[in-house]
This record gives sequence, C-alpha cells and structure tokens, in this order.
Amino acid sequence: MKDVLIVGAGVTGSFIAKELSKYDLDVVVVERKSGPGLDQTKGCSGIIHPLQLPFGSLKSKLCLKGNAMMDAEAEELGFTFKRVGLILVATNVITFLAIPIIQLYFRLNGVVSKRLSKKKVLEMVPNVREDIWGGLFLPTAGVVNPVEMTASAIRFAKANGVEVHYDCEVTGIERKGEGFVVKTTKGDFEARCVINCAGLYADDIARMVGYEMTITPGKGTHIVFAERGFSNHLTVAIPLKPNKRTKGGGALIGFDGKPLWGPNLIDVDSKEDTSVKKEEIEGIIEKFSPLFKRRPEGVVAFYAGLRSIAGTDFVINQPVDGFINVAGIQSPGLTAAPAIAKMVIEMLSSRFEMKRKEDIKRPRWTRLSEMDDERIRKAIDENEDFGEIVCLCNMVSKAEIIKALEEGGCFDTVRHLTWAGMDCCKCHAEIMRIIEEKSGKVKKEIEESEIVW
Amino acid sequence: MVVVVGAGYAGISVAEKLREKGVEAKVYDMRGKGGELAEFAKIDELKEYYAKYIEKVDESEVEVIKGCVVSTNPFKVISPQGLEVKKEDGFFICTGAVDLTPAASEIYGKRVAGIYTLETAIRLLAMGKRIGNKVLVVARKEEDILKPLERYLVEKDFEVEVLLSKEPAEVYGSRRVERVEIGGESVSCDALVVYGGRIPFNPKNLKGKLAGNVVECTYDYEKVEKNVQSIMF
Repeated sequence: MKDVLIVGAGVTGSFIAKELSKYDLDVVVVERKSGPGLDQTKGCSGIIHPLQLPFGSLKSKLCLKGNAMMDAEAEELGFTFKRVGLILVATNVITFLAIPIIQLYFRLNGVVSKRLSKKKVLEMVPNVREDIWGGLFLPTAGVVNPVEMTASAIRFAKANGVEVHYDCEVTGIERKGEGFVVKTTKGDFEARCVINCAGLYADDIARMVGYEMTITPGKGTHIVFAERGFSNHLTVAIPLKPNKRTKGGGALIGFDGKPLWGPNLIDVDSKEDTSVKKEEIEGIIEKFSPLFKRRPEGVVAFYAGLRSIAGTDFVINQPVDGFINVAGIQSPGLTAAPAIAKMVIEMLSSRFEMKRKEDIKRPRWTRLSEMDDERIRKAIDENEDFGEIVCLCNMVSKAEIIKALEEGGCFDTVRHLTWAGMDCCKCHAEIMRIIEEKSGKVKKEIEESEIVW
Repeated sequence: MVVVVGAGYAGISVAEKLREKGVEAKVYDMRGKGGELAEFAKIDELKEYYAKYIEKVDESEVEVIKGCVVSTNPFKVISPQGLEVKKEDGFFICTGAVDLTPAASEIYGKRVAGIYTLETAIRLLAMGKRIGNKVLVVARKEEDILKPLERYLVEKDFEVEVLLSKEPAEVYGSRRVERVEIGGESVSCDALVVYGGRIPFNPKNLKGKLAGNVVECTYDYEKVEKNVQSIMF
C-alpha cells in the first residue's frame, strides 16, 4: 500500500509530489495525459503574479506566499524564472489620480510597488502610447514556462523515489479500511491518502468519495507574437472598474520574451473546449492595442487554456478522512503552487510521521541555449547529440529532445519542455521523426491523439 | 575565407558562381546538402517538378560541411564534432524560407493533432509518413507546388481537397482534426495542411549578403534562381 496517491500531474500535483518526495513516504502520481502539466497548466499564461485580490482570501494569501518562494523553488528545481515586473499604466486622469491610493492599499497588504512618472513608463516600455499619464511598477511579478516548472518538480520527485504513471485515468475510488483503492485505466492502486489535484475534473474525483462540488471551465485565450523585446515587462492598463472574476489579462510576455496578449475569460460548457474563436482574438487585439503605438510584429500562435473554477476561491479541504481536495485552483494557481504544497504537507503531518530524507537528489536539466562555449564543447564531447541542433530558433539540440521524452512521451511535452518549435514550424517534422525513432509512435498529448501515420 | 550558410539551391548556386570567379567558399548546412530540395526529391511528383534544380544540386561538386552556424561575428559553428569559433571574411546567407504558422494564416479553433504547415506536411511525406487519410489543403495564395503535391497525394490514395481561400478557417475535433469550417462550409477531414505564405528563416539573424529564398520567400525556385543571379552579377 502506498502512503499517498496524487491524482493529477499538473502544477499543484507536481509540486505536492516534489515536496512529499523529501520525506520518507511512498508516493505515487497518476495522470491521464502523456506528460506533466499538459492540461490546465499548459494553457495558462505563465505569469507569477505579484498579488491577488481580494486580499485575505485563501488564493490571495497563497499567491503572496508562493511568489515569495519562487526564487528558491527555481533554484532548487532548475527551472527558468524571471522577475520581469509588472507595470500598471494609468491611461487617463482618473486612474492616474488613483495611483497613490492603489499603492497605499497594496502596501498595507504587504505588496511593494514603485510609482512611475510618465517619462519613466515611456522609457521602460518605448512602445507605449505617448498620451498615458503614469504608472505603478510591481517588481515581484515574473514569468515562467509553466510546463517546464511542472516537469522540473516531477523530475525532482521521481529522482527522490516518487512513482509517476501517465496515460492513467482514475475511474473510481473505494474505501478500504483506513485507506482507499483507486481504480485507474492502468490498474488498481491502494493508498492511505489520496490528494485530488485533478484540475478541471477534480469535481468528478471528489464525487467518487461522496463530496459534492462543481468545477466550471473558464476559458482564457492568448495570442503569441514573434517580436521579442516589444516590451520587457508585463504591461496592464489600470481598469476604471476592476472585474471581480478576472484580473483582466494584459499585454504580457512569455518567459522567452515574446509578447503574449490575453487572457480573456469566457465561460464554456465543455472541459475540453480549448477552441480559439476569431472574435476572441479580435477582442484581445482591440482591448490591448490602445495601450501601444503599434502592434507587435508577427503572429506565432493562438492558444486557449481552461481555468477550473469552483466559486470564487481555491477549495483546499479534507472532506473525508485521508482524502484531500486541492481543487478550484484557478488563477493565480501557478504562483501559489509552492505554497499550496507546503499547506498540504501541513495537513498530512497529523497523519504521517513526516521524517525528512537525509539524502535529497537534485536532478539538473541541461540546456544548450544557456551554456557558454566551454560548456557547449564539454557537453558535445560527452554526448554528440548536443552538437545536433534541431530547433535553431530556440537552440534546442537532439540530446534535449531525447531527454524530454523521458519526462513525457508526446509531442506537446517535448515542445513545451524544450521550447523547440515554439517560434515557427521548421523543425516540427524533425521532432516527430526523433520521437518516432525513440518511442515507436508519435502522439500529441495523450493516447489516441496520434499526430501522423 | 568566404562562407556560405545554407546548402540548399541558393547556397549551392552561390558557391558555384563564386568558384567560377575563382573564389573557393566554405559551405555549411545544419542538415546537409540540398535543403528542402532534398525532401522534394523523395516525392516522385515533386522530384519531377523541381527536376532541373534538384539535378543542379546533385551535379554540383561543392563540398558541404555539416554544421549549424549560430553566429557570423565571431563565426561559430556547432556540430557533433564540437564547437568551432574563428574569424571569416565574408558571408552569404542562404538559409531559406519557412512557412507562416497556422495562426498567422488565420486558422482558428482547436489545436488538435493533424494540423500541418505545407512545409511540415511535405517533410513528413518525404519521410514516407501518412499525414492522415482525408486531407484538406487550405492555401491563402496560389503556389504552383500544390498541383504536383495534389497529384502525389491522389496517387498515394489520400482523399484530397485543395481550397484556395482567404476566408478564416476553424478547426473542430477532440483529439485529431475532424472537420474544418471555412467560408460558411464544413469540410470533413482528418488532416489540415495550411499554406499562408513564407517568411525568411534566419532566426540567428546572421549578417551577410542575403541570397535566394531569404529575399523573396517562395516555393517558386525560378524566383530563387533570379535572386541568386541578381546578387552574383
């Protein structure tokens, strides 16, 4: 019998697994997709938020705590995290006059910010329109690659003994003595504790132990532009009237510096509806264009993700002894993930003797794009696949593609984890060829989503 | 020494022309000789269509060094043999073109399996892979390569429909393309091949004389040829 079974290898499940792997516990993660972070996590904006309203809510507290932990997490797990900062821009006199009040409100709640003159805003974001009034800078805002962040936590967990099963969907949960039998498409697992991190399907999982809740999917659409450096900060206009349900998106940037505009918030019926509509793209352009003198050049991609919404806040509870819900993790779930993991460890500490392992392994991911000449030479010397560039745009070698396959055997894992083929489609066929060569088949993200042949 | 980056048609032609002028250039390519012509050569109908260009590359005795040029100043090449850093005199950038992405070609809807740019589709077909069974090709502009490609697909028992249309398209499907809505019509298919045009492929922003398919980006090699001619004379 396992000590803990985690349903879902999204960012929350992965961070809980990572944290648990530091203790003497037998932990297993089951995930219905073919790799980590391929559902809700993949579709998010990759923003590490500086704050979340309303202050005092669980999601707000965990956001602030998670944000403060992020540098140490990035260091420990080896994922890329850049505190690029967020500029709130006052586009009219009313929001300009509100800046001191906003700043005071933020400060009283422990969020640092810096007032920016109009000149300073224009200096920091040269493409912003000349008729803005001023701004407020939130230096703690940052960007990550959400799939990389998730995969690095899973990698750490695996290196420290956690078992992970992909293409493994939970079909039922039964009580057995003090623990549970979790039925999956890959067989039954017995576990003393079950942690429900099933994202959009957390309500289905919760219902299996008799807890009634409803997750509604809230779609967020994004546009990825090609022009790196269009803005080097997240840029958002201060709204006249804040929306209670969403922060409203912004002219964001990805961790690679490409402009990322969005997300919007659209209520959809289906938990698989990640379709991008023309009107949504036009709406995003219309909403964020007025901030700038011009649009960023070149469209690379559109994508939509789904937020799992269960009311207004996160739902983290233990409705049945030994069954913990980590559900309704909408924005800012990515930011909160490390803090959520700590909270769950706290909840488990009454159940298990949490004995820390003496030897904790810290696996590293090698990226050609981050190496200097000397390290490149050494890497190629040790493995000539590092000398074979597959994606020139993002400098990804064959060695990294092959390594990524160990983290999840599908096209989406390889692309999102290595960032190969994320600027154009030049290397897609080559990536597929390598995947087929190594694993015999090519699926996009889950069993039955075969890409070719 | 003069360096030619890219050993596709343009790169080989430039190197040949330089040789005629008594200049021996070093030609580098990250994948080897022929560029996308080497892919076309694996598909009978395209091999025939591009015959004179493919022959010229085949007949050329210009030696190609396999290596990925990542910068020109300083000159850096990465290959399985290692990393080379040195100084070279002049550069011809013949790195070719890349297709616009589906999003840039106004393809909306679900991002499921089975959506390919024309370029990716050709590369997969050249590997002998089946890209689906019922293929819809949406072309935003005319391109002559589509005709021999269509013949090839028909020959290989694909069901094919080629649509020349500027209407936005929307993809539907759960795990793979099931249908595409375009111009008020619904087309049932399991693969969507998109051609929205091409842009230069020079992600490392290599500096030098641009030649060939980097200048006017196309599948029409007459234009590539013209560009090489205009540069060399």
